[in-house]
Formats: sequence, structure tokens, C-alpha cells
Amino acid sequence: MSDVPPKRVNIPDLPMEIMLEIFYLCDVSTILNTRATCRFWRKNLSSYAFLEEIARRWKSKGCSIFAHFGYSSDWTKSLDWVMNMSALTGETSPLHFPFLLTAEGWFQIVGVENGIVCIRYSSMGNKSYLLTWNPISRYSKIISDPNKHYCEGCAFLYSFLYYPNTLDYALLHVYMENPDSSTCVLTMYTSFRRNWNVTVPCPENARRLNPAYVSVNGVVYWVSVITDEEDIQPPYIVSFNIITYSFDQISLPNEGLQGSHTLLVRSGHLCVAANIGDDYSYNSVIWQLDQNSSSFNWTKLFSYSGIGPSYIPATIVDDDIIQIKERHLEVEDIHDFRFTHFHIRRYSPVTGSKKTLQWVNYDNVVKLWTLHKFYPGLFPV
Amino acid sequence: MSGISDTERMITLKTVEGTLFDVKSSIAKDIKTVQAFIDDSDDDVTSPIPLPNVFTRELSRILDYLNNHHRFRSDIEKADEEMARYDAEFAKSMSHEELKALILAANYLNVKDLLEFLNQTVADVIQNKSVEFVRNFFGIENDYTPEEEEKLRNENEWAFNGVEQD
Repeated sequence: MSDVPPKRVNIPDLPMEIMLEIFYLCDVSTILNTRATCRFWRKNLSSYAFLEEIARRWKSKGCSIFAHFGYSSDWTKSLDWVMNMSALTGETSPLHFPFLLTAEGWFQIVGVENGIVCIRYSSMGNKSYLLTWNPISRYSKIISDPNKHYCEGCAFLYSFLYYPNTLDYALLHVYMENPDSSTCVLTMYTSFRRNWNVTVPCPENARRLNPAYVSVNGVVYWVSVITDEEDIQPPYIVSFNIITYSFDQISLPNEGLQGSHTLLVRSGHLCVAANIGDDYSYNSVIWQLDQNSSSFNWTKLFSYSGIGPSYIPATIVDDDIIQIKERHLEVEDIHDFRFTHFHIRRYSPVTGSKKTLQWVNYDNVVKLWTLHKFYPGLFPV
Repeated sequence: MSGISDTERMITLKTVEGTLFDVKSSIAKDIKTVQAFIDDSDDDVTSPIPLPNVFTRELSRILDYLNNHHRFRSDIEKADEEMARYDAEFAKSMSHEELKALILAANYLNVKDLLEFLNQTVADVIQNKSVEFVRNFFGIENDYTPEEEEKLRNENEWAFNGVEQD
């Protein structure tokens, strides 16, 4: 087309913005491989900015629900299993833990956040460990379990949460030093200090903490019920801030004090589902906490009710609620023949539509211990 | 390349080598850098628009891509299928160096759809390739010591083989 010879020189390297755009489109193994090319890319592809953007883009690939099931006779049984289910289709796929369990072993999922699963487990049933694990990058790290203070009948719990806008996380362990203690002690592991040296005495009101917690923006929330013989108080929420080390107490909405409570997180806001129900009808009201400076206000988002056994709201995925109905049935004439079924469905409050994700039947008394939502990511352990 | 039958306004682009390309204004709209130049001009642009960073080979490829995509879009029925077939051929027709040169040109001219497509093409090319391949592809210089590299390789090996079978 032209008589002028091409003035082509060697093609310059692609600018960094374009290379980043390309790496955002790559799969896990390519990103891990590219980290091994040089120091510059190792640093960049491990940065919070890159990993946050990857997580944002992968979010569209969908959310998985990890459901921990086990036999109700004893939760410390390796016979427990985890169902890995798509929150969109209900399709299940296997989930292989990076550790082995003997028949005496057990595990509990402490929490799942930013694509990192935190598990407490014991392979042989005696010594226990904590493990942070990224099922996508397949990296995992073992952390010592501080539970040296175990005493018969003493309550204890674990929580796993992130510092806002960082790659750093904290593990909390709340325990009682002896059964007669009137208060608990909180000890904290952080991914940057790598030890459990932080110890904070808990206030009196943080005594009956529920193992089911949620965390938002570096604050962990539990529902607490004090059930002293004479002094039955309404339940309330206890919070602990991992940056300021401060405890707070939040009253539940007055209208929703009866029944059971489930803490939920919806678009970065703490929510609570107040559930009332029996075998014949149920009602759940979802409240959202709005926090400005020092005051807490509950706003009623929506409620739903129906005929039949209660569907307990379990977690919120993209504004939809994942609901679980757990039913234990017994056949009277046949000795010892019991079975359990679970109906897991997704309820959309906007459209009012309900979609069954899974019907699961088990030939025994099976409990759903915990339920977690998992978004794939590349956060480090 | 020029559509004789229609009366659409034509714009002339000039590459580094001096080659002139006549482009329909509807196509030029997808070339954001050119469109911005036209929008900024007070009068109608009649003289060729110089593209000091774009070579003939790349511009002809970009126009080929845009013309074909416009054509596919006008025929809704077969659009997706034909477009996918064309895109696959288009990606295959280039060497790695040509692909990179085209990315630079598409980036300079700000042709969004094409740039996204080319980025995905590169992502597909480097998938399941060795660290050395990725280095060569992007011209990345290895600044690790052999010991560090060994350690990194082991880490990744662990990552890919560390999962238990059931």
C-alpha cells in the first residue's frame, strides 16, 4: 500500500495497566505462575488492590454455600461432612479438606471470609489445630489452637474476621477460665503478629455468647442471652471491635424480642431475623441496623410468614435469603427408624419468589451445624 | 473498503508509514481517540487524521475487525455464531508479537471491545503455560536468585499437587 519501508522497531512491552487487565482475566494457576516471574509482579499480584479487584470480578461467578452436617449425638465426630452447594442453582460439588481425619477426629468451620476458610480440627481427637485455607489457591496455614483452658461445662467460642480493606485477619477465642467464673476472657490471634498475645477481659454482659456470629467492618457480633434462674433478661447483641478492642451492647428491636434470632449481613449492614414459629405456622421479620456516630437504629426491611414448619433464614446472598427447614421424623412402629430431611431454598424478598436449592434426606438424626457463604478469591492465608 | 452505494461521510486516517485509510464515520465512532479528535475540531474534518503511533498493519487489522463486527451486528440472526467464528480466526491469524502490537494500537486508539477481546486472547494464550513462557511473552526479566526461584517453584508445586484425593 505504501512505498515507504516500515519504520518498525522492536515492539515495546505492554504497559502495566494493560498487563493488569490481562491478569484480571486469568485463572488461578496463571496468576500463581505469573507471581513467580519476577519480584515486581509477585508484589503487584499479591497486593490488596489486585486481590480485591479479582474478588470483585469473580463474584459474578457466583457464591457457594458450605453446609456442615453431622449426627446429632455428638458433634465431635469425624463422620461429619460438608456439602458444597451453588447458591444459585443448588448444584453440589465435592470439597476436599487439606487434612486427614481418623475416626476419632473432628472439625468445625469457624468462619469463611474473603475466600478463606478457617477450620478448627483434630485429626486424632486429641490435639487440635486451627487452619486457614484458600480452596482456590490451595494454600493453607496451621495456627496453634489456644484452647488450653478447656474445662468441663465451660462455654467457649471462636470467630474469624478481617480488618477492613486489608489482607489481614484476626481469630478470636472467647473462653471461661473455670466453670465458676463470672466473666469470660477474649484472646486474639492476628495474621500480622502471628501469635495469641492479645488478651482482653470480657465485660459481664459478654458472658453467654452464641457461637453463631457475624462480622462487619472489623466488628464481630454475637447474640447473647443471660438465663440466670431468677433473672431472665431479653436477648441482646454483644459486639467486639478488633481495632479498638472495645465491647459494645446493642438492644434487639423491641418488636422482635420473642422467638429466635439469626444474625445476617446484607450489603455491609448488620441484620437480624426475628423468627417465631411452631409446627404449623411461622413468621420471620428482617431488621437492619443503621449506625450513625453513637446511636443504633433498627429499620424493618420486610417480613414473611406462612403455614407449615418454620424456614429459618440462614444467610443473605445478593439480597436473597437462603432458608433452611430441618425436620426430624420418626416412624413409630419400626424400632429406631428415624430420618431427617432438609429443605434448602432461596427466597427473594423483592420478587417474593422461592426457589428450592436442595432437598436432602438422611436415614438418621442429622443436624445442620453451621452454614457459610464462600466467594472464590486469592487472599493469602 | 469504501462503500460507494451509501452516502455516509468518510474520514481519512493516516498511519506512521503514511498509508491512508478511508473509514465510514459510523466505524470511526468506535475508535474513541479518532472520534475525540473529530469532536474537538470546529470544522468538518476533511484532511487525513494523522495517527503518529499506529502502523499500517495494525490499523488495517483494527478496521477489518470493526467492519466485520458492524456487518455481523446488522444481521441479527447469525450474528453471534459468525462473530465467534470470525473472532477465533482473527486471534489465530496473529503471532504473539503481532498480538502485542495490536493491543498497543487498540489501546492508543481506545477501541474498547477489541481491546477487551485481545486481552482475553492473551489470557487464553498464557493459560497453563510455564513461568518461562509468561516471562518471554511479556518480556519480564527474572530478578530472583536461583534459590528463591527454586523455593517459589516448590511452593507452586505444593499448591497444585497438595490436594488430597478421596
